[in-house]
Amino acid sequence: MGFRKMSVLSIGFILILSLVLAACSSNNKSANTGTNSGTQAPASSQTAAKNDGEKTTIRFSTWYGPGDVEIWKNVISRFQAENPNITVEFEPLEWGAYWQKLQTQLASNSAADVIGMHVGIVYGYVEKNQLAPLDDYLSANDRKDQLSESLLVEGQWPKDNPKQYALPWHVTGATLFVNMTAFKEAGIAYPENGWTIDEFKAAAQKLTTDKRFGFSVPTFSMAAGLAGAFGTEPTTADKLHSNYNSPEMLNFKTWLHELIWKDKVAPNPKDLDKNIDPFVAGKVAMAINGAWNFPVYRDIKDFEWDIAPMPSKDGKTKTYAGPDMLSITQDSKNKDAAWKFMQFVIYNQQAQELLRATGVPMLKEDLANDALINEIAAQKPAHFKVFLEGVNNDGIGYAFTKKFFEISQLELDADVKIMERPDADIKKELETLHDQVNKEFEKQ
Amino acid sequence: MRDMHKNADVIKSAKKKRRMSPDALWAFILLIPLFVGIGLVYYSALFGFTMSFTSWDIVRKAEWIGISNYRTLIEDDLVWKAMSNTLIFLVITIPAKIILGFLLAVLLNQKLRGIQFFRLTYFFPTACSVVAIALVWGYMYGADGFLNQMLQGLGLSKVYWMDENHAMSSIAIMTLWVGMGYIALLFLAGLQNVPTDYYEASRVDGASKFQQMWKITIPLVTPTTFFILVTQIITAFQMFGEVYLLSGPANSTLTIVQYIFKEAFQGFRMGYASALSYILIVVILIVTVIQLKVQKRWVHYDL
Amino acid sequence: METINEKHSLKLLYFMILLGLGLIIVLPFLWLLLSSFKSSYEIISGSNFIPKNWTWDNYVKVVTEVPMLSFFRNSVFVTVLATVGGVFASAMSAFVFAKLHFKGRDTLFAMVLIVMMIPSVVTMIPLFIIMKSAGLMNSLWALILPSWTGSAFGVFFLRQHMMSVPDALYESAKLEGCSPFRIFISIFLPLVKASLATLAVLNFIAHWNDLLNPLIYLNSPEKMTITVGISYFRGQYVTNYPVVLAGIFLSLIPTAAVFLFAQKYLTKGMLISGLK
Repeated sequence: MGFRKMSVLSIGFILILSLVLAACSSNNKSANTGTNSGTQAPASSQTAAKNDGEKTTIRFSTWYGPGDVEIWKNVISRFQAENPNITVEFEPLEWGAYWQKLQTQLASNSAADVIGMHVGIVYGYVEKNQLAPLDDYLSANDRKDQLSESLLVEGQWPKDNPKQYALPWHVTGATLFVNMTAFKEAGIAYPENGWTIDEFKAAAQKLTTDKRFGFSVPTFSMAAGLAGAFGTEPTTADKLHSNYNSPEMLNFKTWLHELIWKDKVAPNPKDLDKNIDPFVAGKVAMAINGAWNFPVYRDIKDFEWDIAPMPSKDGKTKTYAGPDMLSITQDSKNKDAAWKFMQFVIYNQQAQELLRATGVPMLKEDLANDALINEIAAQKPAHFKVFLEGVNNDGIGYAFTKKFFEISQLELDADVKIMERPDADIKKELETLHDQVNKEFEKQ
Repeated sequence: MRDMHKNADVIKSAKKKRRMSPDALWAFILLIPLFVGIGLVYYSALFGFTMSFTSWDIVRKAEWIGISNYRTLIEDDLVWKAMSNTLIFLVITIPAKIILGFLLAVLLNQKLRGIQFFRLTYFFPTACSVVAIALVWGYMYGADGFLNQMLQGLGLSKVYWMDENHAMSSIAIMTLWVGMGYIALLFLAGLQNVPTDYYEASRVDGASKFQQMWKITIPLVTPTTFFILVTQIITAFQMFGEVYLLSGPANSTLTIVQYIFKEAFQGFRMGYASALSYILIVVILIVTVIQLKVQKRWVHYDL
Repeated sequence: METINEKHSLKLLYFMILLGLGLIIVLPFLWLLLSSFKSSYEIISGSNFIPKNWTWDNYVKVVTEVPMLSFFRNSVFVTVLATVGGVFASAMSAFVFAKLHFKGRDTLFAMVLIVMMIPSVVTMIPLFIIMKSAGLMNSLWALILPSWTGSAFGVFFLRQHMMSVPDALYESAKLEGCSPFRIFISIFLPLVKASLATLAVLNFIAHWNDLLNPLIYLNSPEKMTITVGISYFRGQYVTNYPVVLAGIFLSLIPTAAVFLFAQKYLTKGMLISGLK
């Protein structure tokens, strides 16, 4: 009986507590979108109350990598400090979930005002008239020359009569992370620019001990840089067909397969716990990961790390890189406020100085600023310039088509069959993948 | 007093004639919510059937394409993969659930101290959300997760719980862990319904515990077994949450409902998704009907 | 014939087995609780069950960085409204089938029974289209309204109990001029309280734990319920999953509380449905 009373009381207590706390938290929602907002939030709500009738709220949704959420919250609170009449509701979702939800939201007219947009797939959304053109806003912007033409082009469609539908907010990509402590232990020097894949393999062999492997085989877009060195890409140049049956692709996948099963410098992907980052856990000494990991990796205390140049093959080196972009939805009822936010994010140093931490500087004035570059390099990674040069000189994309997600899922499934089996028939798996991807392109 | 009763009888018989209309009117009004609900189900069945002959992405107009969806369906490897995944799942879980659940129920039927506490504990996982269960097990199933750490601590080699070949079985084990208590409680109810006279009589005849179990308990519990079989199979065919949260690689854990979800709400191919739903419904109905017909052979409602 | 000793050792054996199985059931929950107090570093490197360095970090993080409280609020809102409405609707329909007489009653009831046999996946897509047209996308009401039609199971379940209430009660109330609705509210509902409670508990659990419907209808994080909320936000903590564990543990507290509170009704409900 006492037991039951206790449960009744505890349920009641929990319900009341959660309702009260939820009510408090929703009142402070605008304050919660920034951790540095201490003194700024009360000020913004006060001035907002003064300028009555002008207040707008916009919704902003995008995907994130580890560490991005904190950065965005800071950017938002800085924006709101400068624009007290506009409240930004931040709706971050992780990569897979974001794209799923975006489709549903667009189909049911419940999408955010400002949405994250990925390079290469803009045209799909433009074709369905889901994005608002930004040309008028841009022409009124006095800072518009800060973005290079090549970056602007990525957000334009159609190619023969282009309108601007998306703008980049940072440029990022993948780079080769190296465990310098492990390098020192194995007596290997920091790799030089242009080191070959054979030298790379030799290093991996020296780094492999019974406690760790030298390298973890990359999948999906992380493999794009190496694939580029091997002279291959998932899709054909016109981006409408699969390229998985090319001999270079077979070469590439076989080389990766041998790293695991012949050279034994890479773990069987099965052996890697998907809930743990193997580089951070010290299970592999080298790994290709996104540059968006920089802020999070700076917390690593167990070993020294840096980034190294991508290995080259036949003199060719490629770095996976591209802009991440923002768009305004056609259905948005607050396009002006949405543009104010976008403009701040893209062109204002207050935002850019935070956002470029997960990639490379994007604005022309930043790229020309040597002191800035050195300053970034002074935080880890020490060889930041390597990545910067890779992005600007040897950048390569990855299946940036309307079917980006379907293709990546199909390739991931094929990789399971290729990499996890010692006696995989790689040619056959690639042929199957080739057919599946082409079938996917044919679907509506 | 007696007068009132006589009046009541008179009024009752008089009312009998009029009882039809006012009751019917009230019934109609009070049943409106139910009509909406039931109507929705029957309407959905019809609507889904019609939609399965179209191609529709919600944004643009629907296009009639005849049996094209069904043709694609038959050639779709993923459909067969999903069916075989479900079959693997059924083969592993159903016999295990029934046997283990029954044995557990026998144990729970004993007069032991704290037996109520045990009954509750085993049942608790069923009350938890699939999100909590699947995520926790997902972390435990990791290559360096808790389960493998335990195995290695005992000197055994680690198991690739969530790889291509084992993912579905691992999910089956997890659902077994969740559902065992619930099944046991159902069997418990069935066990407690067996009249004790049978046991008394058989004991007088010198029957052993084992014979009692085999000849009395198990046959008389078959109605419960049947109920469990039918409902568990229907549930298994519609499994979604577990595999959505705890996906195995390369479609090794794809289920039909998950595939329908993907096609409808991620791919926006409503027509194809409807066709898939229909096939699933038909399969479930066929399986259930077969079970209903076969039950006469093995379900004893009386000894 | 067994001796007293044999009987005792047999009971001991049973007890040990039950204890062992109980441990298997409890172990994952224990791991969950203990690991929610570990740092991500400990999870990665350690193979220890009990945390070496207890930390509240994960709980702090999950409450401040993830809108856990709004998830809770949404779950409570949906579950309470859906359960109350659903039980009421089922009870009303059950009452009609139990006590009212009208032409076609039994056929209609058979149709209700058939619905119980139809897999729920049949309404998934059509309901989505209806909700979308009604403008209820991303609204919690999309999760609440469908249950206000009652459920076939609920109707069946409650009808059993209502039929056991003597007809005389209904008849005499009618004689006094009460409408069937009033009879339902004032007389029958109080009489079947126990079954109502059982159904309410079952419905509560089902709605609280629902994943599929929130997944389909709820798009923005501030509308999400606990189930989808947690599943979406685990991506934020890929390298720090103890935070997710803390969130999961928090989400289980209400479940446990309701479970303990309702144990009586649950086991009774099991017995009743098992008798089928």
